[in-house]
Amino acid sequence: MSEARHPGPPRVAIVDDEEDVLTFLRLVLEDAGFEVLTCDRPVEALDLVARFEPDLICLDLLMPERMGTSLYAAMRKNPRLASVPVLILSGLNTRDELVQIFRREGNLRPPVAFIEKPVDTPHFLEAVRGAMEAPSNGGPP
Amino acid sequence: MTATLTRTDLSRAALFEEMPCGIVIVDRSLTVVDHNRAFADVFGDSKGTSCFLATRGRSEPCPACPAQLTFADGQTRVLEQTGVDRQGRPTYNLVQITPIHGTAGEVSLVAAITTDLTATKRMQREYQTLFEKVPCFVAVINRDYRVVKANEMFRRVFGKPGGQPCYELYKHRRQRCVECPAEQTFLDGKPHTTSEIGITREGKPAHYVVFTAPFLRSDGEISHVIEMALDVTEMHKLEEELSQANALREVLVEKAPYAIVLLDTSKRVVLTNAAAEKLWGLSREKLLGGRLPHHALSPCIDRLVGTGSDECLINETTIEADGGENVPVRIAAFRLHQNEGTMGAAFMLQDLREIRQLEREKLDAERFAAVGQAVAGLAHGIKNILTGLEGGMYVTSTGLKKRDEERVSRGWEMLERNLGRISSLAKSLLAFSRGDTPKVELVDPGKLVREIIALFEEGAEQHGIRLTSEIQGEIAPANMDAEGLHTCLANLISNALDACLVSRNTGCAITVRLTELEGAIVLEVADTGCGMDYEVKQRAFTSFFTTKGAGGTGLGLLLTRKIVQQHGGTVTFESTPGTGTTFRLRFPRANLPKRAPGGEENASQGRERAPCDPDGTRSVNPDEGGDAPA
Repeated sequence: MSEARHPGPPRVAIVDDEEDVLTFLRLVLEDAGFEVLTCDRPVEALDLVARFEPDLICLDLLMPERMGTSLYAAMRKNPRLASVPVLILSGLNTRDELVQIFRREGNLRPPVAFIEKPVDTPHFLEAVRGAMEAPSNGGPP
Repeated sequence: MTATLTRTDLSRAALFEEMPCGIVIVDRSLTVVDHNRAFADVFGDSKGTSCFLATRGRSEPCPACPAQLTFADGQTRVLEQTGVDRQGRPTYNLVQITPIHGTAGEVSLVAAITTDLTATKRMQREYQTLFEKVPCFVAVINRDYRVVKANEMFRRVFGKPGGQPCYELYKHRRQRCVECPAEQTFLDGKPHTTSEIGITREGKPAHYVVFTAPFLRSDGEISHVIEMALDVTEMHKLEEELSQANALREVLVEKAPYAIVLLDTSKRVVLTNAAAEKLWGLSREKLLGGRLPHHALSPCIDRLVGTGSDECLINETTIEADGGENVPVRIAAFRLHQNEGTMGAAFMLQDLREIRQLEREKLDAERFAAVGQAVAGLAHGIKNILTGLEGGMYVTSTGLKKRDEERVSRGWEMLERNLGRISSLAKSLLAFSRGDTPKVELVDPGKLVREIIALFEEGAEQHGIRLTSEIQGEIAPANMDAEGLHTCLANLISNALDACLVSRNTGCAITVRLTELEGAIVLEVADTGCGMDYEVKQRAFTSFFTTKGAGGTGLGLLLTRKIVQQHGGTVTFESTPGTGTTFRLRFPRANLPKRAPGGEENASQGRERAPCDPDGTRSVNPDEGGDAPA
């Protein structure tokens, strides 16, 4: 678990343009005792998420206006979010494909955690807990 | 006095008077005592004046006066003398001074008989000038082949002769030439002509043509030969250049990858190349002089001959080769000018068979790639829906467990929504896979644009989005699938609306533009919406890729591209994140499908088209008729 920056339960911010996914994951996490922020507008996500001071960010990749990769790059440069672990949530097929996208987009090292859609609930919770405890998560190469 | 004159005296007087040469008689004081008419003709009536005044315009006796000498010694003398006639012109005379003895034997008078040589001298001077100034090399050669006289041009080019033999001067040789025209003339007394290459005094080659002529002495012997040589160096240079140009042209024509055919004014083949033999499957012998099967070329011939155009381009047509095969070709023809008139026409034909084959192979490759993309994309699309379904299941089941009705109904909605997405995806898939043959009819693109604008206008307005059209002038109707085109425009406008809706830009606008450019109908849908970043652009045409979450199937652009490709067109787009996107559909008229009168039509027929103007405007094929398809 990363250092507690806030009182209360651990916080997870979810950025996805699909409302159903947001509802689903919010309820799963809330049921498991997390405090959750959902955001379906990637362009507004950076400020919103930063103010929320999350312990983990769940990020979708293919979104209108702003791709998850570019949002991820911005988060890594933001001092308030740079050290927050990121869990990528995508319908992409393989982790290789994910690595390629991050390489192409600004030569980024991909986040360690990757969950493939459709989401299996226990697996998802496991991944969230694991990512929060990971010593390092992404960042500039 | 008259009475004392005898008949002989009278005859002598008449002879004196009528002599064709001038005769003047002077006394010891050099006063003219008498002269005849011929003298007076030149010098005027001079009786009583001094001879030096009369013949030379002098006021005192000439130095070394020959008359005075004859008075002194009684000798006859002959000399050449210059003088001045009564008009002041110079004269040139041969003068014989003869003493006339008095009764005591003394020289009492002197007679000067003058023969006028002025004309002869003038002619000599003229010949000399001609010899010097004639614009060719002239040299007089003696029997030792030494140049004894040479004119100005000869001296300028080969140097001044100083007794050298001709071969040394002309060619810097030490021995006589093997074939010598001068020698021939010395032998047979006849003129001879040869072509020679000499060396100028600057050491440069000089090409000249030599004419030799004998110089006959009064005894009939040939003493000299006169050589006249015409400098043809410049001409030779031009000939060289021409022959080089010819050789180059021959290579260019022969090795050209296009069939080249030159027709004369009677439409007969006068020149052709290897590519033409290959294209028609006919040997050069059969092509040359004959008439080509003119069917495919006749529109161009008519243009060049009938309308006076200088060139004619046909982007695609077919010609019939020898074996009966219809070969697709591109034709470029040009009128050949000669002075004011026409000498024929040049045709260049590009065999399109190989290009068409490559195009087919490329299309096949694209199809295979598209299938792969489709499978991957389908998986991705289904995964998104599955996530929604899984979410719905979770929310419903946990709601049931918690007896939370609100949660249950929320989960139920999620299930319903995602089942709806499956149905929508299935429909799109069907739409995408159905109907490989577009229903081609004569479509007015302008009308279609206005219709689609009317369809979306209100919905756009409700969201504060301005949807307008810009139609450039009159766009002629074209063979298109109206329904397919409608789908394309609807997809693009729908995408543009979504881009505007998610954009932070206020007052977004969508413009549908219709223009005709370089023989192609161009449809543009431009929005000032959110734009696409690199990743979205990369995947724009990937099947099942959507940025619209539950709102999109990810097939719209793919379907659009498929329809456009069926029309022989292309889809391109430009997009800047935050600024907007412009999609451009380009339909070259030359590639548009043909309406089939009876239904079935194959791909190659679809590409065939009527002869067109070089600017790409298409003339209606008679067999297309005016009837609307069933």
